[in-house]
Amino acid sequence: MKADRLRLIFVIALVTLALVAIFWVDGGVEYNSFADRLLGNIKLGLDIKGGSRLDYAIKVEEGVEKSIDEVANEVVTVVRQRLDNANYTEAVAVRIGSGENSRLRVEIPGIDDPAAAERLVGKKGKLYFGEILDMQSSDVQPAKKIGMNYIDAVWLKQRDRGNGDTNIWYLVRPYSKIGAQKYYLDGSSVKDAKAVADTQRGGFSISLTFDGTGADTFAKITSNFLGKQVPIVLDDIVLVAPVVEVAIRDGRASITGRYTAQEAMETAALIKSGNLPAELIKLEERTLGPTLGKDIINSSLFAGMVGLIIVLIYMLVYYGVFGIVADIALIYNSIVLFGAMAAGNFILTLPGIAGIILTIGTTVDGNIIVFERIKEEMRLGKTALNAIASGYKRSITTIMDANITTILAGVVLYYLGTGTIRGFATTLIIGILGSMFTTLVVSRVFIDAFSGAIKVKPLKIEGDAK
Amino acid sequence: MIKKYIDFTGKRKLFLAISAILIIVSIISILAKGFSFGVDFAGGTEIAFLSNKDLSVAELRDELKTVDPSFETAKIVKLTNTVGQNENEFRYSVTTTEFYAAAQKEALIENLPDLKIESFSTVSGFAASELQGKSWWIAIFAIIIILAYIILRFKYVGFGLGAIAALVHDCIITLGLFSLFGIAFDVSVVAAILTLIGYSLNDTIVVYDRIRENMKKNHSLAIDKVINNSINEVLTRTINTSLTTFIVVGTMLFFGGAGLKPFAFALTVGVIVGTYSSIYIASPILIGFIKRRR
Repeated sequence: MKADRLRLIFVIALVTLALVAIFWVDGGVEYNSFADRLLGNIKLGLDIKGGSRLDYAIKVEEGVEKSIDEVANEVVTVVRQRLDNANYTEAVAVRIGSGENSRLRVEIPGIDDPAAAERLVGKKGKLYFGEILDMQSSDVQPAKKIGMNYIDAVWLKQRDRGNGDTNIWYLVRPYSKIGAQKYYLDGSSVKDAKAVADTQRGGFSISLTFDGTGADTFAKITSNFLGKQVPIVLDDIVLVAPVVEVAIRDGRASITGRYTAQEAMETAALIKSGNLPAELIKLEERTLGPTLGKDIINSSLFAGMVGLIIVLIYMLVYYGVFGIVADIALIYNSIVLFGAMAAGNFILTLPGIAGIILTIGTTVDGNIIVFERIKEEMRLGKTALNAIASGYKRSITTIMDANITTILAGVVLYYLGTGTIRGFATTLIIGILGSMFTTLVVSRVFIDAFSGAIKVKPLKIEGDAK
Repeated sequence: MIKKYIDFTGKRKLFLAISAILIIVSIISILAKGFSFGVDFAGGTEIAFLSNKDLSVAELRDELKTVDPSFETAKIVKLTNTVGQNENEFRYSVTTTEFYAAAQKEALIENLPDLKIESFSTVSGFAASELQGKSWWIAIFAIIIILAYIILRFKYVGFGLGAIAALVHDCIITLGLFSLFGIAFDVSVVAAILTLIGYSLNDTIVVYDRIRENMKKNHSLAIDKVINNSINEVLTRTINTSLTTFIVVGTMLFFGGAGLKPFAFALTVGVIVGTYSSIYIASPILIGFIKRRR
């Protein structure tokens, strides 16, 4: 009896947790439909919520003396920054594959214009060394300054390095003015930028190397702006604005600031992005508009609901009391599955929905195996409670075996599969684990409770020669 | 309650013959006709267009051809709207073998202002062949792991061989139907077939477990009798499970929209073939294996 009570408490606690995970609302979000509400806390894949996924091959340009790994990491950093700058905060840029097979994968959720994403990733970054005319702390872009001196000058924000100094704005012009002469210095003059350990001050610094003409221009700028900041701007964001300490005539500069290794590497990669040492070749693109995604999810959820309802009715009609238990198990498992998706931050894809629908089959199957077994045991003359106990005992191996094979297939799909197929493996695995739990534990609680109502008709098999 | 005792094993030669024919037809179709691979595996572009005008396929093709003559050979399908979609909008699926890089795509968008692109998938030949290779690995790897599990689990080699025979049977016939009906074969189908393998094994294992149990109970009974009794004993379960699974995958096939179709097709066919094979193929085939051992 104690075990029964424990089982009941566990069953109720789990479904409560799942319901909280599904319906917990953080902030005043409004939902238009039940489907929206149900999926509100679940991360949706690009094939449902709409967006673009782009895969690029990274082709290192000839003459670049760097390993593909270094180049690939630089490419990822730069693209990430570009997406950030363009305000695609949910976008993801990652490197997949390794060595020669390194790929850039970009995922941009909720993008309307399929061409925009590609323009953003594919373009070359515009980097220049400018001149700072003013500086200000502000949450919004400060007002434009009027005057002859301010022609060409724009307020640009400092790059977010994650330390809260993002509300600093610089009034920058895209060239350095020395006397009446304008000096332009852009990304094409930067031969290299890399992070090096700073042995004197500690931390890391960024070492810059300019090409011939670049070195001359930089020498002019540094000798005229001693003690002043020289901003390095990429795509209208101020990456860094180091203070010139000495005039640099050999084209080799060092930006010190006791950066962490990560910061220094990122900044170096961004400075170089004006001439990215790699060509990006599109291999694959998947773009889905947000409305079509909504239609897809509605029709597949509708299919799932119809299937679920027919099965619920079928089980009730065919199995009576057992049917009620199976129906409870089915609904229970669906709730736990959605709860696990929400709580575990798993991504739900279209094949993932198919996985959920399939789970209905496995849950019913487990219950049917147990029910048929209990019926057989009762026909042998056992009392309902005894029949339930031995029915469960005898079904466990069968249920385990039957489900473990599917889980194995799911695990292989999860580890080797990509993108949306991974979503299928996720719901399949969670769903099957859940169905095993509901069959062996949840159904058990209810069958025990209903045991008095179970009646089994004697079975006569015609023509059996046994 | 009266249930008819059915002689499954007695007619095994007939059903083995039927299966043999189905397998031969499937293999011929796969070899002669091949698969109609989706863009995932073949490379190319699949575009979903939305139009406010009710264009015929020919009209749409003419319009597309003004931008790119290669649409002459494209596969264009007018889609029926699913539940909840606006009736005054018309949807088309266009599949071509061309790969669209950034510039070509922008040209397409610019020159077709009346058509809204709802989804756009383009896969280069390189990526497609890579995915094909990868899918083979996934399938082979999954099958090896599942086989290892079966062999570990059923100590009789006969059980393992029987399960494998049923599995191969189901896969070949499902693939054959894909080829025969020319249904788009994409990555989701690979996932469906692996699930189907799990499902078919599930069915087979339930029957085998019962056979194993009955073999221990009745040493004296002839093996074909033991097997036939076992199939009869679990028949209600087999039919009910298959029927409920069939209901859910069937509704997915009919109501799930175009996106889930190839996937749902594989599963619907798989459930039918898997149920059939676990009754008529996997178990009767054991008779031969076990008789030899006894």
